[in-house]
Amino acid sequence: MTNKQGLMLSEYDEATHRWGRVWTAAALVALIAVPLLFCLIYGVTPAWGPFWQGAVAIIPMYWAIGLIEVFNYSPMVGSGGTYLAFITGNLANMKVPAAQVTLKKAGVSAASEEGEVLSTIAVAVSSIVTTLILLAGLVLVIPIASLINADPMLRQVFDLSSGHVIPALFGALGVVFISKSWRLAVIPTVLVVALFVLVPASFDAAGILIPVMSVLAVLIARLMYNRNRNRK
Amino acid sequence: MKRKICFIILFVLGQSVWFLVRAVRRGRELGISPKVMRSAAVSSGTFSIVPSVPIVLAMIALAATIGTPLAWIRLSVIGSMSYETIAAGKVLEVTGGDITSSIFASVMWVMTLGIISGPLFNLFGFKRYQKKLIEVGRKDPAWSNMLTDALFMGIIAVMGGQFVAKGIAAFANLGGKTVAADGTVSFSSAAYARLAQSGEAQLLTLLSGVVLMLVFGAVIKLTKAKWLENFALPVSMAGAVLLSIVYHNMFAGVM
Repeated sequence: MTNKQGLMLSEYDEATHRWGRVWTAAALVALIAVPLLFCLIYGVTPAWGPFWQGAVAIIPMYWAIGLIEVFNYSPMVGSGGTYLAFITGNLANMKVPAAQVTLKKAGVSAASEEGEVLSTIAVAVSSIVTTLILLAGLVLVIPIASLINADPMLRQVFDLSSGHVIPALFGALGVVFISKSWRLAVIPTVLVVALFVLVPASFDAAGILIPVMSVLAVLIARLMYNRNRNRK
Repeated sequence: MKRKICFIILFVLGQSVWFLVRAVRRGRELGISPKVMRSAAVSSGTFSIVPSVPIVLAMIALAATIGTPLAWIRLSVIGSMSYETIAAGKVLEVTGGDITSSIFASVMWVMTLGIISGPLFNLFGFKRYQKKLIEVGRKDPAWSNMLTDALFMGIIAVMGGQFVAKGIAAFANLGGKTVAADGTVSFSSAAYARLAQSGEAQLLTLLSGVVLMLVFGAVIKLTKAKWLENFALPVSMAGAVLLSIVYHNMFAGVM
């Protein structure tokens, strides 16, 4: 249904945005409260020199990344999923794949009403599972920490940024999605591999490459789509 | 301190349960079968177990430097290990690593202000963007499906492709690694040495994930055991992580 201002959202979608904003605002308040309360309670003034130096180095880049991430990831997790995932984090390594696996299994798109429901369920369950495992981790924090610290091999295997869980995840996940639409995957993957191998310093910019490759894959998809339509 | 952590846990769980319950109710209204919804929850839940483990371990590591409550907030509410480490590092670079309470406050402010653009956008602009997406989805569902697939390919290409590149760099010794007679290891290129770090084991782990998943696929096809589908991803991931211990040991001495 559309009117002059465009599409009319269902009552459920309107409520999702309303409550999504309430939860987001609450999370932002909670996030900002941490440094604010620390400064107020302990009467501490931030060291402004290091603050500005850090802020100038971090904020412009990460603000840009944060915005691009919403544009890039939200079509894959739906609106409820977006509000949830952008508070609980870990998008590329968990929430987005979790939602995509679920939607693929059900054979629905994230933009459909059914997809909205299923992706929200997927992201919510994923967040709950992580929190429960974090909770278990907290209870077991001392035994686990000492076990991992005592064993450099385990520390390396489970390292979040340079360990072996992420390659295991994307190996298994790659089969599911590349087999479905390998033509979209070939060029971006080959380009990424070539770029890293030829310009090894670009490895530090891996995060920024995700939206670039997404856009490239979308362009390839559009070309394929137009060609198929013209054939019909 | 415990109260702060309890608050964060309740906040994250509360928000997730809230959205979950709403979605299930809406699903019933739309006539989605409970079986489909249960299967969505099971597949996402089992999928999320293995990738959660490094997040927990990162929290433990981060807790050692910035304290448990802050580590909890930073890793369970938004944020990621690499971001937190970079943000904290940028501030500490200036101070030469000395941590006083004012510097700690500066680190916290930079970490907090740097990460909030996504949620801020969600607060003010996301609804309009989402409307556009739904419009596209209704007008042309085939294109909308292809668009999401293509966007996801960006993640797969970079996150998966990086380990292929790392493996190539490691196996082809692009870092120009030499081991002197006394056992000292040196590299002719620091950038390649960084790229190649753990590259052998990571590439083999990636390939193990691929092979295990293919084996699962073949078994499911042959035996028609549909129930196995839920386990294919998590078990392949866990299997590849276990195998990575073997690869790590094979190449640990080489690095």
